[in-house]
Amino acid sequence: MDRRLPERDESALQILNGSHLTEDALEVYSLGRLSSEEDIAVVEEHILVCGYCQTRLEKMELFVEATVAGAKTVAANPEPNKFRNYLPIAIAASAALLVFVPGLLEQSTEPASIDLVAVRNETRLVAPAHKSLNLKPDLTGLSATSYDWELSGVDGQLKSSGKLDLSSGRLSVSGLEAGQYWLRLKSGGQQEILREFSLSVK
Amino acid sequence: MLVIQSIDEPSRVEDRQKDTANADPNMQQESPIELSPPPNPTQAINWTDLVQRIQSNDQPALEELYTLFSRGIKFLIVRQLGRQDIDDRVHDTFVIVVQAIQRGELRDPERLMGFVRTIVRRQIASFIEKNYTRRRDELDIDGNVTIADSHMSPEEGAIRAQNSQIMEEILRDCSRRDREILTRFYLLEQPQEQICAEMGLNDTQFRLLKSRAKQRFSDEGRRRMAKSNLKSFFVRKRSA
Repeated sequence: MDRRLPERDESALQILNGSHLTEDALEVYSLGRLSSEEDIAVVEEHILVCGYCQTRLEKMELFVEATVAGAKTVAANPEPNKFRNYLPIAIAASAALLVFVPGLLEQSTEPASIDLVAVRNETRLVAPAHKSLNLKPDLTGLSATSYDWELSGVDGQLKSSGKLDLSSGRLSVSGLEAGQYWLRLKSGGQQEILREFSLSVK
Repeated sequence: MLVIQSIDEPSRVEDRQKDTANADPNMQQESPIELSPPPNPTQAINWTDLVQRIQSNDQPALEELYTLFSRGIKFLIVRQLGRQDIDDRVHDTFVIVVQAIQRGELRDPERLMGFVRTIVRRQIASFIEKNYTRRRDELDIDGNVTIADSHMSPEEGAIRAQNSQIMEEILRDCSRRDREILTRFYLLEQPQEQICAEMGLNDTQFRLLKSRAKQRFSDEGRRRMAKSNLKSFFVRKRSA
């Protein structure tokens, strides 16, 4: 299945239902797929003062987060028990591969694909050093029409920068030495920092 | 009475078919139970009066403003920055809001919520910038870097792991087709319209599937919580 950018006919999305946010609005907002600044403003202004909708949004986010995590696990291992009997053989075969084909992993030219998440979630993402990295910053809740990015080392030195490819939501960097890095996302053409992500390279 | 369908209180039709995709495509959406949510807290507020009283530094008005916005400000900041220093950050933001109102920067009192939101967003950007600057300066001073551990607490980690496990079990338990629909929407970020078109679903079936998944997640979370509470009750009894 292709990974595609979210598209939604927002003209059909009802944000408020009487006094409170609709279930759809809460879900789309928590998934970060609400792209209209006006709609985001309506949601956030309501959330600022409505404890009832704050609680609903918290529960929605728990569900969304758990579903994404659960779906990732299932996608990575669709039939967990099917090959249990072959596990020792698989481990032995893997060990043999690693012994007899040293550097196999390093020779791979496939870029490592990494989803960057905001500070409140996991911040210790680890990426392989000296490899092409395909990073996808979490744009949840952001609504800028374009984004500039900067990658700095722990010493504050700028390592790389560019514009985020909005069609894929991804950016590429390569050849990073081991260390701690910070990726800052700015609204395009402006200097307002919208979000910062940490990335550990080993 | 307002009719809504929430995660906590979705429709409770127990004899549903397991596989939504096989349900009658012409079926009507289930009637959700009727809830009476609290009224919108802003409906009873006279914004002009509140802003005028804040401008004259009226203490009850400041308390009212704090009561009205503090939880929401905290909520939006935590979503972006985590819980670190959260009380200080909420306080700083509140002070800035009050000072800005008292300086007359809010022209239209009816736009108070938008005004507060704008300040919260600026504050979030400012906190990120400060963190960055502090890290750089700390490095300049002594060559060492102290990076605050914004990792989740063990309790948060355990809750998150349990939630993930619950959803994994639910996904494994549902039909292959339902699993694909949920995976496409939540993990692969495919739009509802595309999923419905490619998998022959109507809007109602799609909503129903999501609603059931949320209901099962909520029920299972409550069941495990109750089990855990019961277990700790007996452990306490035994040790007493």
